[in-house]
Amino acid sequence: MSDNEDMEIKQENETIEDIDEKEDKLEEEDITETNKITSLKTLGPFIASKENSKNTVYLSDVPAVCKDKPCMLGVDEAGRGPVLGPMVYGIAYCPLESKKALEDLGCADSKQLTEEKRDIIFNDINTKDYATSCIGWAVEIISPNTISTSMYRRSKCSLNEVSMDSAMGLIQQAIDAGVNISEVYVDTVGPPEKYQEKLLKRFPTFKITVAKKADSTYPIVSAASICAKVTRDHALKVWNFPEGLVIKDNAFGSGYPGDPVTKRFLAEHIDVVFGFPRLVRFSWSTAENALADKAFDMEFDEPDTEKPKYAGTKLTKFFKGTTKSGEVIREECRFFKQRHLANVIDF
Amino acid sequence: MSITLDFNGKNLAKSKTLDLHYLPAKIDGDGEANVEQYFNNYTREATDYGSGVFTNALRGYPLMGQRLKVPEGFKGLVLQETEKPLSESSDRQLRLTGVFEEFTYWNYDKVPSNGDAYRQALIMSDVAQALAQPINEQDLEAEIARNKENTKTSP
Amino acid sequence: MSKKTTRGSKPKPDPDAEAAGKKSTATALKKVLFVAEKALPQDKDEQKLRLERFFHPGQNKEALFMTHDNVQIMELLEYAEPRRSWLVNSEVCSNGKIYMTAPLDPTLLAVHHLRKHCGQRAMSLDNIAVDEPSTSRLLNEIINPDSLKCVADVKKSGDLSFYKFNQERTLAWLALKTRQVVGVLKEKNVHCGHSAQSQNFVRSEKLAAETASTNEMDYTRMACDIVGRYLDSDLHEKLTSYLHITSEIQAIVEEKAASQKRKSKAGQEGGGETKKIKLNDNDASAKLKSSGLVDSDTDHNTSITSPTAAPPLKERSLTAKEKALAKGAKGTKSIASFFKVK
Repeated sequence: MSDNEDMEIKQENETIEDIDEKEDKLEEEDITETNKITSLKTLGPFIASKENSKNTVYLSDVPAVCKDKPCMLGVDEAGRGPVLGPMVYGIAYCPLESKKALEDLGCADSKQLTEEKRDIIFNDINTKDYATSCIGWAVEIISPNTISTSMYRRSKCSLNEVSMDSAMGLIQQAIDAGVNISEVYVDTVGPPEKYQEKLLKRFPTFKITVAKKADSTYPIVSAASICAKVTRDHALKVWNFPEGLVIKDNAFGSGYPGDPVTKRFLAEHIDVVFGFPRLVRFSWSTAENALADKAFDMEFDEPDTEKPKYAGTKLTKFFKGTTKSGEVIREECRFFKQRHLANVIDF
Repeated sequence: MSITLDFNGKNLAKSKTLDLHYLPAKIDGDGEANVEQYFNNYTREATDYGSGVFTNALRGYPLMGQRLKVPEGFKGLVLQETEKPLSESSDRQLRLTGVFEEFTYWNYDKVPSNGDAYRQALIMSDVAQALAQPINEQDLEAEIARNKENTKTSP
Repeated sequence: MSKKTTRGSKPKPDPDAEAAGKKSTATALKKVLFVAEKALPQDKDEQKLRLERFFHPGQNKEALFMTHDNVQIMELLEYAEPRRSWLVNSEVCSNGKIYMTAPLDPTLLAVHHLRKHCGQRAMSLDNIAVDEPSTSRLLNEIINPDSLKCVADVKKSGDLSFYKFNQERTLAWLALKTRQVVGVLKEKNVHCGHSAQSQNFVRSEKLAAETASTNEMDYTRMACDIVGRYLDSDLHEKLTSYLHITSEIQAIVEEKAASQKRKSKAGQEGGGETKKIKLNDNDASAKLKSSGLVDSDTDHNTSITSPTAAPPLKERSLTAKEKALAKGAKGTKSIASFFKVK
């Protein structure tokens, strides 16, 4: 965006003497390239430069007009259902009066758009003057590792909670970056009422609309949806396995449990101890089932189903148990028992 | 029957140091594992929870860990039995695989603390020490006398 | 060993097994030990450590002990948390136990045999249990006969020594041992009460204050139980009465009565059932706070629990909390509904 403009100006005014300086500039550009998404082309390298077991947030520059004029902001996510890859939350915003720009971009129901069309729109959002001057966007890439570890906490954190936290986090970041938000539109697959309530509680001054299929109703949600979807697709394309796996063209399929390519990927990449590479969401039943047959059984504490182990000394303790042969069983002393200590009988 | 730990002082001094992780899960299997690529690769320091606290995950379950020293006065050993004992009563030999002074202790979604059963169990070492401490003869005679006195005075 | 190991696992290359041709690798399981450095063979020591079985009076059967050169005997204990396993270099080990040595006064093991054989008449050690090799070995090769004078009357005739079990001396000796254990329990701030909190090893301040008066008895009771696990059960009972330890069941009943009283008092103030329930909730959250989140010593940094992590061991209170959470999440869609393509 602004960097590109600078570049163009530089190139136009270029003289022979400036060549050295230009080379320096270009080198700098190469280094900073991965820290900034300026087009579709730079999206992949940006994602690839981040650790894929952690979440990554990216905020575009905020167009000056978005700091003055009241803005609408759309929220949508991509990749909620698949068993592999990140889930991406996206927001897009523009002044209420800039609806035309969204229409010009072709922001309609993102599900109706082909991948190529989405890529083009994403590139336009980041390169076309009429878009960069009034539309800003941000995404959070929620790593599959984070999804698994959240859902497998001792006190479980549902995917819904992860999603809402991400959405509200992105809105907050937009606020902190100076965006003058007045209306918020959120696409949801869950019941809208709870979501709306929660958002209103956190952002009481905004007009908040939570609706199913909002991405086909509100162009700003569609824009957010495109940013999220394109980011998710690229995240999969540039996925680099710390586990050392190399998959040709990163062909994992759609990630949906029914996709035969995904099924085969899961079946062929089971590690008997660690299960799967961390591209996979372990907390999905598809993944759990695949491991149940092929990998070592593994058991963690299960707080939800576990009965309280110790709720004070039980009175039954004072009735001595006996073995079948009538021998009195001596209870191990509490100090040992609580500490899981015992004599070694078998070795 | 006896079990011999088949190493002498020299073997012990020359033994290699092993890298151990104490995992908070029951794993129903033994053997080679891709520890480096699938696990060590993902260990990160989690400064939010204090220095020296690490995070990782095992099959998607969040782990929080810490490097711990083998308790003072102890040496960590890993032993391995190469031959199956012929019967319950036959003599057995255990070979020394290696030694360790430190290991990574992991909890499932819980910052390691003194509340952990593992750390509490180590107190047993001090308790055993106190229990094993010999009783001095004078103290013993005094206790016997005291008890005699007590049983006399109380009906 | 599980059947699973043959299913998907890669066979373990055991260098020794390779060298020795085809050997069963299935039993080549690793074990992790913490061994007292003092017990380990030193540089030029050719002696090897051994694990031997001796009768353990508390277990009423043989258990394993570690011996070195006939001069040292240590108890072998296992730390066996229900869900643990090891990674050792690039291997996984299903045996998640830690075997650790603990110092032991072998006189404790001798007491059982002396009571059994030398209660009525004095005997020389080599005449006791001649048909039990491990007992003979314990009494004649491991034990320092000098130490037996704490638990027996010793009569000398020429070179021979004869031992007759002396219960009075033994109980006095055990009482002193118990006091030594009390000392270390106090020093290590071990929670010895019988309330639920003891499972969490740490005391809330409120609880500490409440139990201060009964602490002394709790310490002695726990120490006596620890000593008692090395004794025949009838001797353990004798030690308990020697130390005038009150019955734990009585202590519990009294404590329960006291807490009932507190609750009903609070109930009267608030008037009615709802108040009572609320009070219980407060109790629950207090328990939650105290359970494992607070360290008894060392710096507080190490005891911080991650925000949504549960306390170390579950209590009813947490289940209630989770129920509340579940209630709050009511109306949100189940995760299963998101698996479909939208």
